Amino acid sequence: MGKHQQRVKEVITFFENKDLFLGFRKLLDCAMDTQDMAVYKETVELTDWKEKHPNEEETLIHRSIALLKKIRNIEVKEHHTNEHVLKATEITKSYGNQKFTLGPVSLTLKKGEVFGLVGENGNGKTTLLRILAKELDYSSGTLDYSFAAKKPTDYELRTKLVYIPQRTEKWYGSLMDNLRFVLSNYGEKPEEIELRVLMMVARLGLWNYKHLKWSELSSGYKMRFELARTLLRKPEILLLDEPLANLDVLAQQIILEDLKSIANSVNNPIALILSSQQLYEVEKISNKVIFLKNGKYNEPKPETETEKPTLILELDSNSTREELTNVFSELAIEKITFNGGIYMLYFSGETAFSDVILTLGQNRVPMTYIRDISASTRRFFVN
Amino acid sequence: MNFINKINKNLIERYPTVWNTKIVWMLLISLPVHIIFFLIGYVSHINPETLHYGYATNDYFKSGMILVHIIISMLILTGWLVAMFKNNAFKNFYPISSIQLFGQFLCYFIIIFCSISFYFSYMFGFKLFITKEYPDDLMVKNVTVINKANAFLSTDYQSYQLSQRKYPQIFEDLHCETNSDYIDYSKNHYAIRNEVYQFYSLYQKAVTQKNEYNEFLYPEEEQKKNIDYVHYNIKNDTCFYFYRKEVVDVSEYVKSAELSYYNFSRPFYTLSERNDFDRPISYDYTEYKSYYRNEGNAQLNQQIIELLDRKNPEEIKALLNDFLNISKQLKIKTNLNAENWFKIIYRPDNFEVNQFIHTNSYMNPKSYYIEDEVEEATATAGAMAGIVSKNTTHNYFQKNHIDYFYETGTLKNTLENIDSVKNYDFISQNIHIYLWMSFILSALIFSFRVTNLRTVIFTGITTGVLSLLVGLISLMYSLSVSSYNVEYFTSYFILALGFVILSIPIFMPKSGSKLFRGILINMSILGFVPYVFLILGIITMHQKDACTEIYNYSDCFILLDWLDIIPTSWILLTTGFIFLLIYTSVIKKWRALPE
Repeated sequence: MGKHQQRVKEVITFFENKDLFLGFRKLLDCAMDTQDMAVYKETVELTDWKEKHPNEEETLIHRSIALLKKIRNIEVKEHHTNEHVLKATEITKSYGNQKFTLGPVSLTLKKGEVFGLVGENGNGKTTLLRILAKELDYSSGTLDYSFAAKKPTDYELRTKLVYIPQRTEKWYGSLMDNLRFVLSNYGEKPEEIELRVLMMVARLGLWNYKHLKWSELSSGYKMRFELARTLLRKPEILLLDEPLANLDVLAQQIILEDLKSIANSVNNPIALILSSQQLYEVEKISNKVIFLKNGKYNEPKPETETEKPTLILELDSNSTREELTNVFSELAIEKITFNGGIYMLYFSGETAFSDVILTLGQNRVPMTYIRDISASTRRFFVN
Repeated sequence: MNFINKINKNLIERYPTVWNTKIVWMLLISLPVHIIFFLIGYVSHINPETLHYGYATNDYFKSGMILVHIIISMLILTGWLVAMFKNNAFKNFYPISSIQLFGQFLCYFIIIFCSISFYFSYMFGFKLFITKEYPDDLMVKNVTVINKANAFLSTDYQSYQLSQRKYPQIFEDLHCETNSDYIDYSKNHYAIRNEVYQFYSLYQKAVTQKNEYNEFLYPEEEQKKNIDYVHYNIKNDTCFYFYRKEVVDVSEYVKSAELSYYNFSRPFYTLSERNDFDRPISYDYTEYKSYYRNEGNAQLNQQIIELLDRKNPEEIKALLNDFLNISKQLKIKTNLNAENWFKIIYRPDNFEVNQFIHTNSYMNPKSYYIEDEVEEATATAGAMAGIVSKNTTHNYFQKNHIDYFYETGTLKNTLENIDSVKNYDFISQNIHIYLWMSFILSALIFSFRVTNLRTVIFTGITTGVLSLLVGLISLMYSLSVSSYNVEYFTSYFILALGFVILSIPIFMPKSGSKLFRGILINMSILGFVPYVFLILGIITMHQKDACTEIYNYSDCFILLDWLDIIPTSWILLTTGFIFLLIYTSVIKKWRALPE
């Protein structure tokens, strides 16, 4: 069973379990992977029907599963390559008499991979993204792009290397025309343009917003339309600067899931780098997180088998430091720090997270929140 | 609306550049505007009174149509820019070939040209109306009647003087002397009031030699004898001088020197040949006067003499009626009618002219007379002024005006206007203005589309600063080094500067900031054509200088003179288009490079 068939099977399970919201998005992913216009047409019709009949769950499940079975039978060519699309080596960028220097940063990105770029404000996230997008020149190092087209000109390279800034530019005119214009410029067959656009609109949950004006959209939907436009370009590398800014928590989760899912397309994967302040959410979907501090990127050292890392926990509690020290005395706590709102607890590598929770429960310590951040870049922020 | 959406969708899916530039809609919008201007042009001169004033071919500019034109063009172009600026594939890094990028420029050019060239539609309409309303055969017929009847429209006295006699042939060959210094009173001559006429046969002397100032020499013999020439005529490299030979007796044909309709030989109007727009008669006052004085027409004189000799009142009345009918059609103001006019003319014994008609309605004959008399008295103030001046034909003319008028000037303007509109090649005379305006505007818009507003603004500032710099350096050069060849210095300085501006984006695409290179790119887009023109100018400047130093000027090959204005314009325009076609790849490279 191929990757495509496995995915379809998984989606059918979502529908069977009535996870309609997730299931339908995944259905659209599978349909898009087919690149089959008949499937596109049927999917677009189903989306339209779904939006017009929001309460007919059973019929939707039935029709969706039927469509998925058709999709399953279509052969989808899997993208198999381990070659990098982007290799940055020792990239540095100096600003204004060396007052700020970014890097050196080295990274290798393959298609289907998602990299998160985190760091506090003013640490060079946008600069790094713009350098990787060839928007900004760099001071030293090398940048190597390896795209499907051999020896592309700089302009051709940039047609497949898309950077979306935090503040997207305003769109003028009809939203749909803007999307059609993209595909037309990218030489898509005229008869397929409408279906592909509608498919993308459906996939990004924009079906009911496609006839609005740009000024009538919320920031979140503006970002989604920008994503739709970008994804229609079938970029090889997609660089997103703070795509989660201005989005509510739920919207952040959905868009990140969508991005991950689209980047991992079976036949058209995309290499994705996104910067964000939302550490946990980004960490959740990223293959790798790049933490920039004062422009520097320190790649974490690989863990050795013999040396277990320190257990670092974040705890929100009304207890005093003394009370906590007493509670954790048995667990050989190494350090407790308090930043005014949250305690950071450092245990030796021998201590298990479950033991800590058990101890907290047994001692009835009042708390609203606890999280293991041993492997999270969060630990760098709070240091 | 559905239809528009359908076409739009079709265009956007198949021809994104065409859709983005909105060329289809712009052409469809400008088409009805062109039709409206054509119709306005067609109806603008339905009333013949609109042709009563000079230079009707310029009515588009005089009547305010140009203002309407400018406002409509501005509205159309503004609307177009707003619609087009909504999308920009190039700025978004959508795949676009150099040819497509050039295609965008071409679309801008076509759109702008169609949106600012309503003048041509107006003129097409105007010309079509005039051609249909006043066809050539009708005009030939009318002008024949006008020329003949004009003989009886005694609005001046010069046309009736003996010196105007051109028929029979002998009068064409002889010179009528009116200067009393040359009159041989012992021989046949004619005197009336203070004027005297004598007919001389002429002999000619041909001269080919010239003096150091490139002027023809005066014949040696005549110079020695101090003989004045009557007139001279230059043909190719020869100058023909004409001298009085002997007095000829014309008493067979001429009985008196009195003003007479028999002497009338001046055609009122001669229809121009096709493409003979620049007839001197219409536009040059001195030429007009010379024509008026000397270019009598023997054929017309013959027709008049024959008509008078027939002494047929009905025939003359028919002619006057025909003339007045034409005048009525052309709405020329007059208080003449055939009957009373005929009474003025008809003196069957010798057809003397002793009553004169005013040339416009508002002229008070009395005040006119007094004013002129005062003027003349002042002019001849001195010894014998009073008596002599009162005996002039001019005085006679002034005293014998009657209360009739005919606006001959208006008739002349009308005929000239009809003629000039029919023959006016308004396209080749004006198209280059509109082509260049379109080219400059489209290059400016193209610059903005491929770079950005900031770069365009900085391009303007940089150009201003550079111009100032060139001016100052040239001034310093002329003050400190030499003012003799400052033109060369400035030209070569701009040439070198232009070369640097053009070269950097092409040969050193990574030097300086992106803004700096963007400014140079914009300057190249807008400045390449002037640069080529500068090169042509420098070559011409060298040729002209070498020419005056080494050769006789007329033998030199001067590039810009040889090319002439219109071909130069075509060459430069083509150069501009070819340059932009090639330069699009430089623009693409610049766009893709990081900041």
